[in-house]
Amino acid sequence: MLARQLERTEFHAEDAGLSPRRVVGIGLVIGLITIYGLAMVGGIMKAAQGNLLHLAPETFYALLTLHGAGMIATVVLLTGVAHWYFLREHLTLRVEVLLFAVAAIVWGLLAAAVAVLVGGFAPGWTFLYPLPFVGATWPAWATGLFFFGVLFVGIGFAIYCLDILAGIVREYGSLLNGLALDTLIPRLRRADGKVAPPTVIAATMVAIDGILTVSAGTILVIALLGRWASPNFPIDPLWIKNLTYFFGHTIANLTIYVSAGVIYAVLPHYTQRPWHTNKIYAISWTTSLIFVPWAWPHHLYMDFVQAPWLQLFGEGSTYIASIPATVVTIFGALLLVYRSPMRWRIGSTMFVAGLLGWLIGGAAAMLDATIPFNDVLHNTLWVPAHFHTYLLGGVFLFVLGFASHFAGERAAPGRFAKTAEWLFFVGLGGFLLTFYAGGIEGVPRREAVQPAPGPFLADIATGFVVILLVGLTGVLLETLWRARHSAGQGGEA
Amino acid sequence: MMTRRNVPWLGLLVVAMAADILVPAALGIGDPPLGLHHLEHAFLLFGGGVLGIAYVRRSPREWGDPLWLFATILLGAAGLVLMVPELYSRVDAYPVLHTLLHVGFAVVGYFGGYAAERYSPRSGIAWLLMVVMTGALTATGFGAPPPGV
Repeated sequence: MLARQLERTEFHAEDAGLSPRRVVGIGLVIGLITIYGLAMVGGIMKAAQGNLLHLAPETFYALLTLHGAGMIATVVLLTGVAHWYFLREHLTLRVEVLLFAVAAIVWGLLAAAVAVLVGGFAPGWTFLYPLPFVGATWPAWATGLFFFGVLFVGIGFAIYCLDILAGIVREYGSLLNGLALDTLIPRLRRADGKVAPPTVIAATMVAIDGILTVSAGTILVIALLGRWASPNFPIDPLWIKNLTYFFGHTIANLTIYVSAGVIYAVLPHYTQRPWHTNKIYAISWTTSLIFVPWAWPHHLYMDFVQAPWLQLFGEGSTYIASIPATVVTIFGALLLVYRSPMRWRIGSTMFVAGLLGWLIGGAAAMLDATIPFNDVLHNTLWVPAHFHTYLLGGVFLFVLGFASHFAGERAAPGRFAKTAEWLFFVGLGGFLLTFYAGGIEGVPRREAVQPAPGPFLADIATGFVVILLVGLTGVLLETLWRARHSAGQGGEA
Repeated sequence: MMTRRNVPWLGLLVVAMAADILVPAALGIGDPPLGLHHLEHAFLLFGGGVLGIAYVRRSPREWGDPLWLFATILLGAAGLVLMVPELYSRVDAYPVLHTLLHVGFAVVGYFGGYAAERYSPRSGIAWLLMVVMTGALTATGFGAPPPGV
């Protein structure tokens, strides 16, 4: 009966004028506007740390919470819609599901924004227990609303992952074939000889690990909501901290792997060469699938009560998870570009530059995940340095590249676009360098008031953020302009 | 899954679940430690899920409505809410309620597996993946105080 009722109420997005391209476009526009706003928030925080403007500490920490949580959720949204756009070439995916996923993530973002901006929720995105409940300067409703926001983001990502898993099984027969393990195990081979392309391999890995991550996130949020509803709800602080990083670190990490799926799909458009699957890809991505969810303990080396085996396992997993997929993707991309009739556009430049950001940020992350280095770098500005490098200098560049491609860039960039791009890259590079310098000098992260040379470096960083934002504005305007001029000409290049 | 060859396995699963639900209540055996108790509930969710998936697979189906995905996610959260230990302590004193709670896990598992599989053939495996992960992670300390407290 329930089934019949559901069939009667079935919603078809295309009947409402929501084509797949339009839904992707909506997700892209919402995401880019949000990122732009959150980048400005980041600039304001840097200016405050550099004493260029005054922010009360509770306002600073509220903005820090919004910036961190908002950026991760928005990057999940942006990379998700970008990859979905290309996955439709290989899988039967339903636009209604994407629409629901986008809506859930946007609702989650809005809830978190209200909790922070109206309620003043300010324990940082990690909301480490018992911080959200003990000594809070914000009302209890803000705490609950923020957790519901996190839950919504998780639900959106879970729906996205479930639909992709369903599409993979439907098209390739099993998840093992989605990982292209049929290239290694003959009995898995299909009669039609169809092998999953690299972009589908990446999707399989992300969707499986995504389900595991969201499961952890749901347990985390239900436990915190339990504590919110009842002060007697028992929580082991170490247990919940482990779960917080399982969820938070892994979901942020997965956006890189989603981006790799986008690169596999889009770079061949520019190089005019196909990107083939082989056994190395199957092995590399399966390795990442297994180890990516277990890299998070590298954030908790200072937790002396943590089991030593977990610390060592986290260190090992960090290396094993990141190296294979990164190496095959970057080498694959370089081989694809080398001596190809590459068309250098904003999109292709962003993709190649993003690979560099992924490499540098990843190397800095592994350095920090190595226990003797972590003794020195732990919780210094080195940490935001590495994740800004691979998120802002990697994943976000892939998103900008996708946006340019999606907008339909046919001609080479003009002087305006080139200038904007250069300003963006100069701003980005300078901004990141100040973070690394702060890390080397031992400046602590997540502090409204920093010891020297923190304020001096923050002043320089603020200048670079302004340059970055000017460049980004130019790049986005150029993309918008091209989108308007290519409308009706069939989309991308 | 619902082939003639699998019927004995499904039967065995039903017997195991029934034994897990009924035997402790009938014999008055107390609850296992919290972690193990979570795993027991995850087993019931998992078993129910397998049965739900098997039920859908009796006949080939086309894609279902995307709302089935929502149902899958919500049932996952419902299973977790049922795992809140405070609930255990409230129902543990009443053997019938305790047994019904365990039946509830199997029912939520059944509908979770059903909903996932109803969305698309073989996507029920994602439900089972969620349940295994939930069981493993809750067993490490969901609703447990810090050691020594």
